[in-house]
Amino acid sequence: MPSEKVDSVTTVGRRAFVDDSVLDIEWGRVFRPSWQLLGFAGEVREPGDYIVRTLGRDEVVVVRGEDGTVRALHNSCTHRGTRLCRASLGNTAHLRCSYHGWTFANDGRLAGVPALRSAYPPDFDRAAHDLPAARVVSRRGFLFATWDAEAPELEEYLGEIAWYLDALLDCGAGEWEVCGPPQRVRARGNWKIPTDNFAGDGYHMRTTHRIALDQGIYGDTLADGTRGRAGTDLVGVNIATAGGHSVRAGYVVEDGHSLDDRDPAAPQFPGYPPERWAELAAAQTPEQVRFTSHCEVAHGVVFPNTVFLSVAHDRAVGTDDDPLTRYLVVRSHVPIGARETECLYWTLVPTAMDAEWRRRSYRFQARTQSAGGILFEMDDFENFARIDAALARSAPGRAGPVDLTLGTGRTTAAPGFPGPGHAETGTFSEHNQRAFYRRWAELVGELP
Amino acid sequence: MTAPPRPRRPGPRPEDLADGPFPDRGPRLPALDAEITAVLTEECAALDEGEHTRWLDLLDPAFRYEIPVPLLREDPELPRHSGTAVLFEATKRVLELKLGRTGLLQAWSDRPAVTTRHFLGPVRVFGTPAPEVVRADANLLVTGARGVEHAVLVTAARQDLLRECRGRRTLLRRRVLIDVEVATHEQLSVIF
Repeated sequence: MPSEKVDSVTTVGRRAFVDDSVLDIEWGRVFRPSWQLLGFAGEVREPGDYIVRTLGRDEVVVVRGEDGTVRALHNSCTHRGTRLCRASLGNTAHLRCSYHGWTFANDGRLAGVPALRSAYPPDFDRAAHDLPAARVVSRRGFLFATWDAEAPELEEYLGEIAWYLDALLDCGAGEWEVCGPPQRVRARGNWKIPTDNFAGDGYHMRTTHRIALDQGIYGDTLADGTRGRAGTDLVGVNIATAGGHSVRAGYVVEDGHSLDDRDPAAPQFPGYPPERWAELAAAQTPEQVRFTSHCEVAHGVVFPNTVFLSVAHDRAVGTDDDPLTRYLVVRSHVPIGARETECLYWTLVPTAMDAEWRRRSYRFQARTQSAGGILFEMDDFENFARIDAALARSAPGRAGPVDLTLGTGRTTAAPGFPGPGHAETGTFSEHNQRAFYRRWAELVGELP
Repeated sequence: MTAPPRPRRPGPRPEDLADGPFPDRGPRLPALDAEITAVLTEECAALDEGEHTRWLDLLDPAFRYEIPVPLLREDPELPRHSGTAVLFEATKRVLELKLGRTGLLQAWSDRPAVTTRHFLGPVRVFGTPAPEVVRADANLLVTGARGVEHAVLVTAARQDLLRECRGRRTLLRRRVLIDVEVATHEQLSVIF
């Protein structure tokens, strides 16, 4: 698909962010045919381990069966609809309904019905009362699921974004582990607001996070540990795909230089220990290295509501002796209603790094971009709440749709960029947001 | 000639208790309840009155602040909060950065400021493995107000470690066990 088609949506009507009738449409047309992140295989390591999550508008029990398979089972008894799991995590061989005692094995089969022989018709079809199960795929430990039997396979669905996810993970030179149960927070505002922020909003940094920049929490140290930004510039590359997925990568280069001026023989991976850079480069393909080298920040969206951020935060949130340390956080933005979103955060750390590095990586995430990250995250939540408050109180027709034209005609194509998708160079651009909403509009269709 | 061996401490150094697993309750020390309550009452007042310098002065240089991730579990015998995952974690330096924001024009989430009220329940004091350190447990209710759309009420169990040094008690560690499973961002913006 040509670039002008990928990012062809330049406005979105205000009611898309506040109207419950729009969310009702989204449940069926956006969420149902899509793959969504439920969590990580590391959260359900042992047979019987379960976590309760949301898939579309349905609550599901994500459980590892006795056969080792991870399933996503509808958390509702097939008798009278009672919620089966009330806790949010645990271990169980069976799910027993608290109302009449129907019991389901942890693979979803209806295993027990009190008084089945004496009180139910002889032709009662037990198999027809198994718990509905979604399709689940574990991809490098990421548990994606969809209710749609007709949805394409996960790899096809991910398309070009898979290359970028793999590059970020391969840069860790091995396996990754998820740091404990996710952080969760309920935030004001429609699920699309924080999601399009992650799609590629480099524009908000200098305003929303002005203080984080001034306090040296972000963007004050070069990859080699040199403090201060004198003589350097941040070059943004925005990559959008027809599937609505996107990545924005920010690179530290010397003033007046371009990405092509990086020395391919001396890759730098900000936030990872310099003495490990050669090892990290060897774990990647040459094309992946051209994407990850000198990359200070990479964030993006797996359509519709999974986002990710890999960033090298500064020692300002640690001690003076702490080196620049990177973290990778993956999030899911689950609608509670049209105007409220639950955000789940998983921090991943590469097992190739030592225990102290991993601990520091998690702490830097917790201090800045966690659910309670008072140094960084709260200013984003503040803006999402302000957007919500103003949009919800606007009379129809009072103001035009939200504008997404930033960077139109002002960015340059990045034909030599090593990864797939439609890449444009331009620190200030809503290229990725336009692609997100183009896919969203394609699925939603005409709003009544 | 080798120096004589230094006498061994009877327990860990106070700084050692600021990190790692939170120390269990030692012997109950009711004689210290009133003294520790007075320290914590002044500390709550400093937070609510926006006396940030005074509040930071009550924190030990090794101070560690943590809000573990709440876990809703079936078995009431299992911990209600994660032993490893946190919603937020901070050092004294991080809290200095946070409180330093309020005077800056572009601290969007701190201007207008939230008016907080800390209501501290009865304080119970316990010993710890370090003789200079006591543990103080209390229930906490915090309210926050910032315009008609931002009204917060949070309840939590607060567990503090206080260190005595030269006749003065400073906060060495604070662990906040919030009651709600999934907090709002307004609730988590509170310093407990």
